[in-house]
Amino acid sequence: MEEIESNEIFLLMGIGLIALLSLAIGVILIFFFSEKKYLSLEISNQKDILQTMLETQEKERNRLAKDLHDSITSKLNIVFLYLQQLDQYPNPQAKYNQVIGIIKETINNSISESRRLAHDLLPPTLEEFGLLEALKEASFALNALDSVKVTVDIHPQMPTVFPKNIELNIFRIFQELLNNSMKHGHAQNINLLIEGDDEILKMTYIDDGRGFDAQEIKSGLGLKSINSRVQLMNSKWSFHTNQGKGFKADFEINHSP
Amino acid sequence: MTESYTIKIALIDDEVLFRQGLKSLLECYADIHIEHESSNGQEFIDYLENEKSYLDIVLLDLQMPELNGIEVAKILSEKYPDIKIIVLSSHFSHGMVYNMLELGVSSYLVKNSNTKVVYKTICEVYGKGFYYSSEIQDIINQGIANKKRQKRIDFDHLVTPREKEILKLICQQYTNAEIAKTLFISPRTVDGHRHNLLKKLNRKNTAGLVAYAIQKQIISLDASHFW
Repeated sequence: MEEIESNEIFLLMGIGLIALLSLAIGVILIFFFSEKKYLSLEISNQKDILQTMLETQEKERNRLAKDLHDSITSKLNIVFLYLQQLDQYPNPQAKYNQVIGIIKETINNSISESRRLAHDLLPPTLEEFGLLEALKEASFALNALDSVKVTVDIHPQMPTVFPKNIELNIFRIFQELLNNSMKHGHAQNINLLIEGDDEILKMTYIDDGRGFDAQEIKSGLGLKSINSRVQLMNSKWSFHTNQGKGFKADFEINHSP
Repeated sequence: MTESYTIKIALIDDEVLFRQGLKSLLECYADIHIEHESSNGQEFIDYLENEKSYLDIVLLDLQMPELNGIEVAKILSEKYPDIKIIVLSSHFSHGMVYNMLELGVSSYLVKNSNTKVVYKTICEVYGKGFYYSSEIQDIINQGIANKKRQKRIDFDHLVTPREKEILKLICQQYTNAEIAKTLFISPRTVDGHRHNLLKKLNRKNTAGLVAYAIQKQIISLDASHFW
């Protein structure tokens, strides 16, 4: 009798052990597959970010090529033409002076436009004096145009130095938001509020424009590139908008080194 | 008769052709002498440390290799505050101008300025320590308009009423002699007050004083007083 009982016990223990092992293997397999799924989701997400960045880059290169042509190439062509005229007509004086006048004006215009181009591409103030100064400068430039009123409110106790790539990303985000507000939103008032501490920079952007149907534009290039930048900074953001109700975006950017 | 004095100038710019062109244009003026040229900030700082030659004004480019103009301005305002700085740059954005003024430069010119304008700026800076063109004034006024929401510092217990008066006139580009005449005091007294102002507000030269006064909204620019 005793022998059979101990056999039964061993059997039961054996079954129990196998069951536990199966459970363990099952759990490990579940983890493995969901990890794989997570990774492939991550990879497709990153592909998406890369795609967005490349598209944005191509769009900008396109515009730059056109701007360079208009501001510089075509103007230099004009100057060259007129200089040849001078070769042909050194006298009479009046004509000569007139042509010199046109050449000077064309060159000056070219200089102003290429300065503006270079500035829009990468404002020297951002590099030399930092993000907060560059944001203020951008708002002044827009206010001077009188088409929209931009205010930038910076909390007085804000740190003023941030890692360079963070500064650049935040500035580009701001440029994109401004572009959207003016081109699509037709906003008249834009406000940027900045506060934070040594680790987090909080930014709130509000415009009083037309707003848009959030579902529709979620896949637009502009918002996608903002999203990509925020993700690259391991930060988060959200936006709220509705037809006729303006646009608001909140950012929490990690900037601790 | 006053003896003829040549204003001693250094040109700091990494574009050699531009520098040479500017030099030959400026040398047409009898009262200007180009004392020194450098291609970058480091060269210039080395020159200042090794050769004790005297300079009135430096025409300073901003974007340069090795050591750029912004760094040079910081070093000059610290170690050589008597050398007046006129920025001569391709850039002319609000942020660049405003921040360079805060660093204590005496004036800011864009590179395709008319030679006559450059010459006038040099003379004004030499005579009065600073020169704010109308473009610069616009930029300053924009900056102040934005700052209006911030608190003004309580300036009145820092300097005496007389000193405040004199500071105002300095900002309006009065010379010492003109200030003396306006306030019915001697030029030497004006000089004394100017010296006290520099000390009390912890500035090293006139340009720094004016930039500080405007930045802290102690003085507001009134277009009718500038030309």
